[in-house]
Amino acid sequence: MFVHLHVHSPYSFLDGASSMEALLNQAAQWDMPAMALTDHNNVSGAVEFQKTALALGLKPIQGAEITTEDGTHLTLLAENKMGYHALCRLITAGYTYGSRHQALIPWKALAENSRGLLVLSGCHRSGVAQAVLEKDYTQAKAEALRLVEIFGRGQVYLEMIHSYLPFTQHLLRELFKLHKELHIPLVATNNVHYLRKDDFHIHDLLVCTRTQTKLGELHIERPFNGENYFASPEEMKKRFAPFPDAIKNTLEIAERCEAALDLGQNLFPRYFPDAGPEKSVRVLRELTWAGAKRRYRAISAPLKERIEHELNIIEQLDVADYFLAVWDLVQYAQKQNIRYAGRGSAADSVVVYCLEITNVDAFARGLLFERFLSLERAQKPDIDIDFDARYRDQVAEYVYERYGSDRVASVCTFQTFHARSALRDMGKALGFSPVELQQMTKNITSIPSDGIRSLLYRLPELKNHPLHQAKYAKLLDYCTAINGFPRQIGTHLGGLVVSGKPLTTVTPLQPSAKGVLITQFDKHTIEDLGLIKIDLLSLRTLSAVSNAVQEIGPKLRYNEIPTNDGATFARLQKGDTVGVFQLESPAQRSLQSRLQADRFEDIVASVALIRPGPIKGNMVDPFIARRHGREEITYIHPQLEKILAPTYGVVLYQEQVIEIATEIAGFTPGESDRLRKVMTKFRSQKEMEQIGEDFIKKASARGVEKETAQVIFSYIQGYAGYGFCEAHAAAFADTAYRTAYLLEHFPAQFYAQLLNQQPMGFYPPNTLCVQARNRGITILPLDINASDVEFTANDNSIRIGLKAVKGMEKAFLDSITSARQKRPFSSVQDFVYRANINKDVAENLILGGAFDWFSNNRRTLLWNVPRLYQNKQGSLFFETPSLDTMADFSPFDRWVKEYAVLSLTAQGHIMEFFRPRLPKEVLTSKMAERCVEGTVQVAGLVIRPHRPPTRSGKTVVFLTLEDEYGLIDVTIFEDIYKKYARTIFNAPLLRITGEVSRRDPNERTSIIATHVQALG
Amino acid sequence: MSKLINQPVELEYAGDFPLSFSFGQNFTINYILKHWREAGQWWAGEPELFVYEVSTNRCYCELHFLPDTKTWVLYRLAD
Repeated sequence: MFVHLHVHSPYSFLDGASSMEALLNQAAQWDMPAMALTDHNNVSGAVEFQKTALALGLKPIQGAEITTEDGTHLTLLAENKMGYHALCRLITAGYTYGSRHQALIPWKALAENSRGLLVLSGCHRSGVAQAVLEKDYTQAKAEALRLVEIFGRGQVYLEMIHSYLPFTQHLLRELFKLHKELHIPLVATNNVHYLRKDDFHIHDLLVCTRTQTKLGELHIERPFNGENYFASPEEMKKRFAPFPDAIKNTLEIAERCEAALDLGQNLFPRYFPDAGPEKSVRVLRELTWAGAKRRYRAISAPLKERIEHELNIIEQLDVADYFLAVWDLVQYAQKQNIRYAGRGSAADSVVVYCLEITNVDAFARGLLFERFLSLERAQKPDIDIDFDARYRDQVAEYVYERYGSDRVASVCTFQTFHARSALRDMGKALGFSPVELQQMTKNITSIPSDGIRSLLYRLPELKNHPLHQAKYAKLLDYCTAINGFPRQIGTHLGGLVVSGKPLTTVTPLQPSAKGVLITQFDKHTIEDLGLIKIDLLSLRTLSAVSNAVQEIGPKLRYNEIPTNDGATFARLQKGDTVGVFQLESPAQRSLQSRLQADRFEDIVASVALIRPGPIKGNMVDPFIARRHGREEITYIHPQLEKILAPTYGVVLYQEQVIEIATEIAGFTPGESDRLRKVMTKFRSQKEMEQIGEDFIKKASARGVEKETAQVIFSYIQGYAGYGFCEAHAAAFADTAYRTAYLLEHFPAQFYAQLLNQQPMGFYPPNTLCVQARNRGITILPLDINASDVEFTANDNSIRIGLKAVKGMEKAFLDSITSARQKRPFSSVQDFVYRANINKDVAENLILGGAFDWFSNNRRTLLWNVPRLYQNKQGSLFFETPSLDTMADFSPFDRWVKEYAVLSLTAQGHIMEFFRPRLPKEVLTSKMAERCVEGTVQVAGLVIRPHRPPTRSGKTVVFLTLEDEYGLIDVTIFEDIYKKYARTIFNAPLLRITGEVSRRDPNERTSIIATHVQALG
Repeated sequence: MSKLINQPVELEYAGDFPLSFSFGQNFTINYILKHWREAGQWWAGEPELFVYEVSTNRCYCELHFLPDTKTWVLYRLAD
């Protein structure tokens, strides 16, 4: 028997070509008692490895192949928990000493953290092997003895790897000699990088990606042959026939090691470090009841019961400290006037509402606390909070200060291979040219890389895609093989973990690109280690709101916005909602006009309705019809009424699904949660069917007729796909309503702030400008003297900000503002002389219109820029040269160039240039909007063509055409889409013929395309 | 001095180990001095190659074994 003790998984980042699951399955198939995982300077796969190995009956040996400060490699294995902790500290030390790209572990750190570790002398890049290969036996001996000195005799093994390299036999002989002389035991490994020999090509390609080489190019790290596979015990015995002890010792090591990860503990710190959990519970109770009095004033018996119920669960799960910690940080945000909004399933909690973490009254809404936290599931709470994007890092900084920088870290993410990244990386390694790479990734959507082939056959616009060519067949195979492999480690957008003990005993920490320390475990595995994540998210909408509120001044009391403002609801009813948080997409604008929202509940429903689950489940139309009394509300079972009455008998929220499962079938909270997970992710049809059988069986046992139970389950099944929980929808609806209010009453200020926060929202900045103009707001042009850094607004105008200019950097902005503080710029020459900015940006300013007040001839100004810069550099005293003059750009060229550098234009719309050439039958968006039936033609700039999931499963393209008067939405069904797919996704301007669609009188007009052609 | 031969040869071997071959004369292999495996330019269709540097009763030789076709090639002779 034999055990692999040196194995790389894809977590070796571009140096492991087989999934951990595949490797472990093979080990189990060969009845190996154990396996070690030794990725390069990380333990990112440790949780998945331990859980999968134990499930397969294998002993997981945690380890890593580390790089020392002198660049040599060592294979470290954790004998026990102490060893794992040492490994975490060592890897952290390596990233501190080295760089974020390369850990280099100091020997001193190894000496200080050697307990609980077994060390294998390493691959041919180890100190021992390097000395042997340099024919320096004395040095090899010294290297081996250094390991013995650091780790202790009995902890060190001389690692023999027989992978048929030119130097292998010499190396093995010398290692054997060292073993005889120094009495250090031998151990055999195969430095595994892939499962089967055939997978070597994938490994070579990944190494090419890592080393940025092409297959035809040499690199020292490129593998020489394909021998580092997961060899069978027989194969290993054959390779090491002269060294049987090396094989035997793999078993000895496996015996010595234990599963070293401590899973399932609670590492969240006590809020009161010197007191027990009782104090936290007591304080949480006090804060909750005080908050309840503030929020509700009078506390009814049912409310009291509800709060007690939640507090009891929180106490029993021992998570009061977590709630206090989150309460503490929102207190900080409040004191600092940082705008925030709690969201997600946390809004199902009345306690969270009382602590002012969320603004959703879970009691009044009758929200289900168990969707957030339940005794049976006993999962860790997860509270997400959106902060004003500008101050999110400040709040995070507070958390670091509060708990200590050794106990707080950002959660990592793994950027995994998807279609485009796989095509790019594999294509580059295979030697395809940049032009080919660009062509082959064009129109390839964000899908898993094993789905490229089916995409090529599914999407008509890809019918003639270059990837159909035979020369790309292998490339597609390679893309399939690396699907989902982690490519690199990154930082989670908002997740922070806080630990009661130093984090480096649980996870190695390494610096991110941003400079913050990140864990080596992502949000999926961090919880298994006992760490709880707090999500501090950046939301640019809140930044826009904060700035708008500040700019508007005392006229507005944002927190006291009336919840029944008629004008705001009237705007929603028109579907005129571009800029409104969550309600601005074409589907939402259409829904708003049909739903005729006149109360907050309608907005909550709106947020939840336009999601894949409800859309695919055909819930939108019945919801609207029932909301307006056009369709009878019926319940197939009386028990459904109390659950579904608020949504007119339609299953809209995740909470309702859980309640149905509990009430009708008597599902336990755990079973219900399993259903929710399967339903929301909808990954497995088989699992869904199995749950369906359970549901029907249990419901029948409770007296529900089988047929009725089947129908009820079909509701749930219909909902399957991504859906919202009500709490989350309500939290979003709050912000949605408030932003609608701002848009209605303070459009200039709000649009200006939306423009300042770009990129955000559904529409590009130019669309926001078109919308603003349609509201009578003047967009004032860029002006080098009058424009502020940001977009600024007064009651009826918005001035374009300097930061909108392409290529603009902070240093340039500082230079411009400080120069004009002395005196305004008097000419382009004066600007070039006094502002310290580069030529390209100066040219962009001219094209953006910043000097139109000086000369309206942009082409003349542009022509002179190089000469002005030359003159500036060449002379000590800048002389003001006169400008060569020439004819200006045509109006069309001016518009296009301005759009190119600003992503918007102050005046006019590109359609104004095309309109005179279009026949009268081509209507403007405004005219089309008034049509109620018939065939029309429209034309405009294509905005966001997209293919959301549909009820029928067929492909439907939705896009918006923007013209000088506004927007018109277009729906393109599969037959027309197939015919014009390339035009739809490639032409910037389209002329579309189609039928007017209005499902009910209030609905905004949209066009169902029958013919599509490119314009221009 | 070495001479490039690159000619297929019939080889007698025991298990994985080459014993002797004929190339005009009979060569008996005394020792395998070095042995390695090369992936070659696999992306260009080049097959995997096992290389043996051996000492024979006559001279040093480099033998190649192509596992795909199970053929042996006398690649080079050296003094």
